[in-house]
Amino acid sequence: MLGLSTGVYCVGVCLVFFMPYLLVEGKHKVFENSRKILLFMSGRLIAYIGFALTIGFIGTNHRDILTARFSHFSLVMASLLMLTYALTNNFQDHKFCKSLLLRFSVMRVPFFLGLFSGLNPCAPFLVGVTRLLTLEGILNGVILFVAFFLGTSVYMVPLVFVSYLNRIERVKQIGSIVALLSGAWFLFIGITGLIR
Amino acid sequence: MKRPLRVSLGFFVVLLTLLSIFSFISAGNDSTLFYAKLIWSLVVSYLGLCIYRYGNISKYRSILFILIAFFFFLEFKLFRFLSFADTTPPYCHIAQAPRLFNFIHYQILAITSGEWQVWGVLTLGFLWLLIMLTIGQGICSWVCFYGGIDEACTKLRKKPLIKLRISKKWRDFPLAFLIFLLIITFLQGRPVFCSWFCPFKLTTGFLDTAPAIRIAQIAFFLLFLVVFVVLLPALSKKRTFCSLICPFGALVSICGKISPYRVTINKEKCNACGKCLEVCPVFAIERHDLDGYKTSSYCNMCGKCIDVCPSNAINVSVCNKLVSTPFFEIRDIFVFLSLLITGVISGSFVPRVILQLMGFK
Repeated sequence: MLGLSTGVYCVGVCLVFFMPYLLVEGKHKVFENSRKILLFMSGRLIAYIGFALTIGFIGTNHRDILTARFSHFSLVMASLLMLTYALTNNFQDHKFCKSLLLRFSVMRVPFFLGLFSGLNPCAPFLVGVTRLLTLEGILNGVILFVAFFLGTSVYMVPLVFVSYLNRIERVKQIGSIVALLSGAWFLFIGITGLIR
Repeated sequence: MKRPLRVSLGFFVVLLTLLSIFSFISAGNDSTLFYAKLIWSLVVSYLGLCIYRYGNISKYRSILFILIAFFFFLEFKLFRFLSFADTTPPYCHIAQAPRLFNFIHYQILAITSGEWQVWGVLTLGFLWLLIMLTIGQGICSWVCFYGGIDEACTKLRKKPLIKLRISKKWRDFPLAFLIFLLIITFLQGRPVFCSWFCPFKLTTGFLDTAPAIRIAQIAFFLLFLVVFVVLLPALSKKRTFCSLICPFGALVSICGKISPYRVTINKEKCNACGKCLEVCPVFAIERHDLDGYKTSSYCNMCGKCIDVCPSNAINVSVCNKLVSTPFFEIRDIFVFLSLLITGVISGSFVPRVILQLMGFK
């Protein structure tokens, strides 16, 4: 229920990273885009389960470190990934960017984008963490977060229709610039969060 | 194209009459304010007369545009230094664009709760829609007081020192910036553009309480102000803030399509001299191999290309159709509507500034 009721906000947070990526790298066919979306969501799922397990093991003592410091760290990682991807995409003619794209093709894998954006707790996620601490047993926590993931993922279903936008070259170009801006902005937010 | 004196005077009289009626209604019982508004209406109408009589849209529009920006600057930014009465700044239309989702959400809440707000969606939104339906993207070159500051800086030099060329992809940067701001502002619930990017942020509102972040914010404001509002416009004679940053301009480039007026280049008359491309201050003219020169959706109808074209190939059209009536052209109607809207909006603050400068309170 938490996921279903707050899913719009959750999707907004993840969408900032994934939508520009999907606009640039997405394919024209709905089926081909579904594969990328599934990879992204699997990254998110792994992140959620990992987070639930970690909270379960660590307990309340170090919760603040996990939700504050670690969240900013994962934000920095996600934004670095996005920024590197966006820079190499926007300046493909440049030799350095071209070689970077060829060598680090892994950055095109949406799984890592999903993983790092999933590790960055948004407000509904933190509500889930609070609920998690009232539950007994690690398994219950994992089940809670899997259910939360499923609830929020419902709002990701419309992403498959981005394939219709991919057909317009101008939309792809705008998407790559949005990716650049999002990456730079969240890198700044992540670094200032770590410093504070 | 010059209009005969009789036609020019006809437009002048009609415009002055309409603006005078507005002045009378808006001034209320304050006769001093009414006369100040009347004087301002006369100024606007006179500049309109010059546009029709001499056939030069951009020159006289520019004078009006920069004057409005100057008075706006005096009234809402320097009031503390000039001992003016403390006035509340108008709701910033640039802030409206990136906060669109939040703005609509709050106004729906206000309406459904029964608490009608003065500058709610029914007034500001209606006003904005009316302007879009009439002059569309012309708002950026005829009404926007921030654009006037940018335009004033382009007049600092006679000739450009640097030639700025922007590729088609990067011309869409304001649109990408708008999308980015819409998402971030919606997620954070704060006016991110106002807090970090607005170069006109000379007041201390929206600044963070943490000193380091505050310094970073001020650095951003100054960077945007110095580079995009003063330096680049002065050196290149291009309105770089309006064309490369302003999210409201990006929004208007989409929504302005509901207006029927466009600046269109007649392919048959065009001799491909490229002067329009050189003078366009917002990079809104594109050169195509097959189709020749075309205006893009970023054109804000300033009239510079129309004035400079040696073969009169550029004109204001209705839905890209260059038509004219026996008595006047479509651009005459567009100029009239633009002056009317400019006169009404600027009439809400310029006369007050004039009175304050003269010592009236």
